[in-house]
Amino acid sequence: MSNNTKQFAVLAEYETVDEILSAAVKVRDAGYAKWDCYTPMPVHGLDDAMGVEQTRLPWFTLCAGITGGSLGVLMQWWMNAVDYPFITSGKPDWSLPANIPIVFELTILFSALTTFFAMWIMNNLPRWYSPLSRVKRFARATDDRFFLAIETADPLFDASATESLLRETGAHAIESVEDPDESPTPPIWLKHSLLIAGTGLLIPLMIIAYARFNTQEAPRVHLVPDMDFQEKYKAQNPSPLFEDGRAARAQLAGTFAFEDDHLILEDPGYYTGKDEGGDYLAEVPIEVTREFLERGRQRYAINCAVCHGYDGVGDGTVNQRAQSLQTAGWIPPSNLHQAYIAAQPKGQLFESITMGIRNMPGYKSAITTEDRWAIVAYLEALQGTQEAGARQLWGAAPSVEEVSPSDEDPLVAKGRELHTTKTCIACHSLDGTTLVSGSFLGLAGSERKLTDGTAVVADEAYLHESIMDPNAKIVEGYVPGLMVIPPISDDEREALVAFILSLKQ
Amino acid sequence: MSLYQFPRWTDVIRPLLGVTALGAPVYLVLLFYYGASPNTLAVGYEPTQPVPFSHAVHAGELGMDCRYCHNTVDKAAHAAIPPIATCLNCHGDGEIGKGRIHLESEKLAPLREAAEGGEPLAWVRVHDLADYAYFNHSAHVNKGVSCVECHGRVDQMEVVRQVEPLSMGWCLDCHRDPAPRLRPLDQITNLGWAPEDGRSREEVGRELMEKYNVHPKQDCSTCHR
Amino acid sequence: MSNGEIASAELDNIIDPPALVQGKADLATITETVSRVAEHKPPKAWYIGFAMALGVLGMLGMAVLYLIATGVGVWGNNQPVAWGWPIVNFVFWVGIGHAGTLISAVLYLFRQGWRTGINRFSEAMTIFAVICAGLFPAIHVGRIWVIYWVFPIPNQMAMWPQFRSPLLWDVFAVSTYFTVSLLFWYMGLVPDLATLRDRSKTKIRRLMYGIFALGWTGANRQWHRYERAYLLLAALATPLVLSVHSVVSFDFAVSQLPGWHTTIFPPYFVAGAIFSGFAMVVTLAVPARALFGLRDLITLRHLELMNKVIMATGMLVGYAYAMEFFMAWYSGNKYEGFAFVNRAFGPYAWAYWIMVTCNVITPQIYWFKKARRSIPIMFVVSIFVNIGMWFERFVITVTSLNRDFLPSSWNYFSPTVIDWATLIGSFGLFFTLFLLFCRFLPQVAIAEVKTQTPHAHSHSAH
Repeated sequence: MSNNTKQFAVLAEYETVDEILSAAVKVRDAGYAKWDCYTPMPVHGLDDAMGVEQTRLPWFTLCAGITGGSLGVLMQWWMNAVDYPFITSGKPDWSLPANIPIVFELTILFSALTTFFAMWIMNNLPRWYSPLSRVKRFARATDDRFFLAIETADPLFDASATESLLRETGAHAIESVEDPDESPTPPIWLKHSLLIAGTGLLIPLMIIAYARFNTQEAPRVHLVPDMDFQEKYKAQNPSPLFEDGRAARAQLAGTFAFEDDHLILEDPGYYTGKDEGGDYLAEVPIEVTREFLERGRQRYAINCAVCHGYDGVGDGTVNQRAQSLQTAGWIPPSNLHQAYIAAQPKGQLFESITMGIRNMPGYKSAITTEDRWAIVAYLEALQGTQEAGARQLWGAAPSVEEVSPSDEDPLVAKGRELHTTKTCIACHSLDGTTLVSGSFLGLAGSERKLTDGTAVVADEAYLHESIMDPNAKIVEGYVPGLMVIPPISDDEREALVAFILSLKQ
Repeated sequence: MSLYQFPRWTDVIRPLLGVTALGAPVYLVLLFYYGASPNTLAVGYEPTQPVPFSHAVHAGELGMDCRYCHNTVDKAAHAAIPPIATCLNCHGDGEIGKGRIHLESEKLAPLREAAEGGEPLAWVRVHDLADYAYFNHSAHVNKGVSCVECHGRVDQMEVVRQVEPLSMGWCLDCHRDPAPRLRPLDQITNLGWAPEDGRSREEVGRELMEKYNVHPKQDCSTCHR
Repeated sequence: MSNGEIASAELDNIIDPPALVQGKADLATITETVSRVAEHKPPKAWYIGFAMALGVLGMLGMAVLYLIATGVGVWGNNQPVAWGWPIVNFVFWVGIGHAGTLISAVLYLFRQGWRTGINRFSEAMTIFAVICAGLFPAIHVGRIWVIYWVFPIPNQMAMWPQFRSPLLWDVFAVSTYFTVSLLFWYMGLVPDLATLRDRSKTKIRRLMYGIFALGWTGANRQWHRYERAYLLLAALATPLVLSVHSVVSFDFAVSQLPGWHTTIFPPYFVAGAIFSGFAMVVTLAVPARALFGLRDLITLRHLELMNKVIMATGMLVGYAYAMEFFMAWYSGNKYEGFAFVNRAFGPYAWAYWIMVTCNVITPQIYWFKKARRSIPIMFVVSIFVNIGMWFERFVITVTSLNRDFLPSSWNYFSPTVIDWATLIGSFGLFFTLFLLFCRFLPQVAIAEVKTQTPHAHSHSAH
């Protein structure tokens, strides 16, 4: 510390309460303003002797008390009656008596905290450094001696006059209090540690900002994890208990859901689309209401429209996507307005949706039984809207019966019927149009170029082979696996081949 | 005898005390308000899935309805993750599934493996409520609360991520004021829906509350049962 | 000195001997007597006591850790006695925690000069007892990390506390009481810390005492505001101290259980709290004044005055016990009647009669002045009262619950090992804190005692 000091105050020491009281009166009467007495305990009468004015502290306490009480009322009212009303035993949302205890406590708490902190602030404390503490004798101010100090900052201060005044008061000792004449610069380590602490405090904030503005691979942080994860199985959870590792168990074979029993017992056709004799149900076995049709339309939009399109012509977005990707082996979805589909009994449509057909997968597990019937019912309405369009597109064949010549060979006639019922018609037209595959018109006897470069004539043997083993010979422009082996008997195959041969040109 | 004295500079740092006394509570409040908020801890969770399934392509570009795959959402509490069979409807190879789209894709290899009898695909759950919170999907989607209200614009997400806090306060926001979050049932999976006639969602929602008899409960046992 | 003051001093002489400070009572001696304790190595007994207290505190730590790791199932609480051990201990400790603020605040307002010898000591005891009390509600929730739910803090659950519940009143009452008691205690400590700072010979002591003394110099302009603030805090703490145990009693009284649902509970609890608090002060003061050489400052007169308070509040409590039985009979409510017959003659009759013996009969010995001034007698009686007051809370809580409305669910409550470890451990916490206080802080309010000596008063008319 530098030796350059300047005087801060003059300090006088007294031994008794009486001495300090009379000294205080004298200094007060001399008109000094910046001076104080220092005593080991509060001395009764010294306030008057010094002329200390009553503190305004109680007013702060009063204001704080009123604030605390009002906040208590407001807080409880807003929290329990407005923002989150508690309904307890039919009591009103807001009734003051039950809220009085907390209002009381908050009044006290606010008053006490304010009194405490206001007192220290008004006393200009904490202030650890005091020039007085540089004087050794001043240590007894908190023990058994009484001091009086007049600061040099006082306008009346005059080194000799002030000192002689203090001498007149009967001081036992008088000492000058010096204060170093330099700017109080905090040490460099303090600055550094503050800098480090300040930077350290920013780190959590930066982590938070990063987490808020970025996505994370890591799952959410559970600050209080208890019971977030319980020892129980929820839907689709894994379980080590079972061989397949799933907590959910599949329906046992041969059982059916409880709520369906009356239907399955009374009306098995409801589930299969077929009556007891094995024939398809002609009509939907549920009363078709407007709501039922709406339901069908909704389910159609969800499940069917992706391939078949909302209008049913078979150009849904998935088909478009597959076509644009040039997916090998992609079989475009059927146009649901085709006459043969329109002519199918409802039970057959239901079966197609349930079990799938050709390249369409079954939707038994994805759509409930009732909803599948609803779709079947809706399909009729959909087909009805597009009948005119369907006739244009599939002009020649609005009905299977119309084009069938009456004088046909029974075998060929059976083949013609099978062409529709076994749904060959979905890919192979009879009018020369290329659908998914080539038309049957003029197929027999024509020359087929194969992918291996050879060529064969489409004779009877070729036709039989192509039905039984579609991948044996692949015509140029097609891929293996496109056609499924139709589920037909040998007799039926004979009829089909006869029919195709009859279309020879 | 030179006793320790508090140095003079302690006078200078007294304002720092005031700053600390006032600043520390503010800092701590900020730290906990933002640090412990689910917006920090939960929102933005974007795990890598075993198969890079793109909702943006399927639900967005192709316009597939959410319920094509999540078909239990409107009749059960749980919105099911679809079985592999559903994927194979389009991504099969002719034998184990019928469509053949992206038959050769490497990205779909885990799918085909699983289909051939391997382990099921372990999809990573993105939206996971605490086990003590009961949530019923069907109760919401059948009353006009669209998927988008909780899951965000999944139809625009290449990878699904959590966009809402899924906190209790956030649930209550809607239970206390459901109107602006409702939409007609036929638009429930149309994530980009907005009222066409220029009316506010609040206004439309008020009507729908009447129509669908929407009176969300707020008592504890509604969700903690 | 004014005539009035002389008159009051003379009157004091007539009523009681003036010896609030005995021996050589000049200012330096008072400073020396109190400061010496904090400045020198403590007696051996302190080390032994501290080691024991630390050991018991360790047991508390393990019991609490085990509880938190496992759940409240490790306690004996179960239906029908769902409120058992923790609330008994909570109410017991809160009651103990009443003497300090009562002595500091109420006796200050009544200008009872004799408070200065014991106020620091009992304020410290209050704070440590409230810390022990606060432990029980905090850990009884099991998942202690969600304890913040009881405070009105904005949270992601958008939930607020239920302000109409007496349990929440309790949270506010006890935390306010703790805060105000702490402020009051610390404020009183500051001038004495300055004394210790100015006497300290080493840098570290000077620094530590200095920081907490806040740079106090004893300037009269500061004393002026300080005294005013002290008066204000005393005025605020007085209704507070009366409210705290009233609110604690609401935990029971606001419920509708026979044995609990009584309007007499608030005054009865407050009287009991003062009773147990003073008993604990005597229990601690008797050995402390001997051990640390404070006999001249905590005099026999102080102890005798406290014993008078103990006898008076003991009889208040006895009156409340009797009145409860009277009301049970007079109300004609057979459930209420059963609850009290069960209390006195049921499975917990032993606890009830321990309570009556300790709380009502034992303090009657204080009718004799000799007993009031006998150190061994007062030490034994104060411990009896402590035991009796713990059993009072046990009786109120457990006997009202163990035989509820459905006889098939009647059950006998027995504490588990963890229950015992927690109760005994809370004493470890209390004594650890208390012994640290005795070792490092002024046990007697130096500046306040000085005001009670002739040296603090003017002897010349001015």
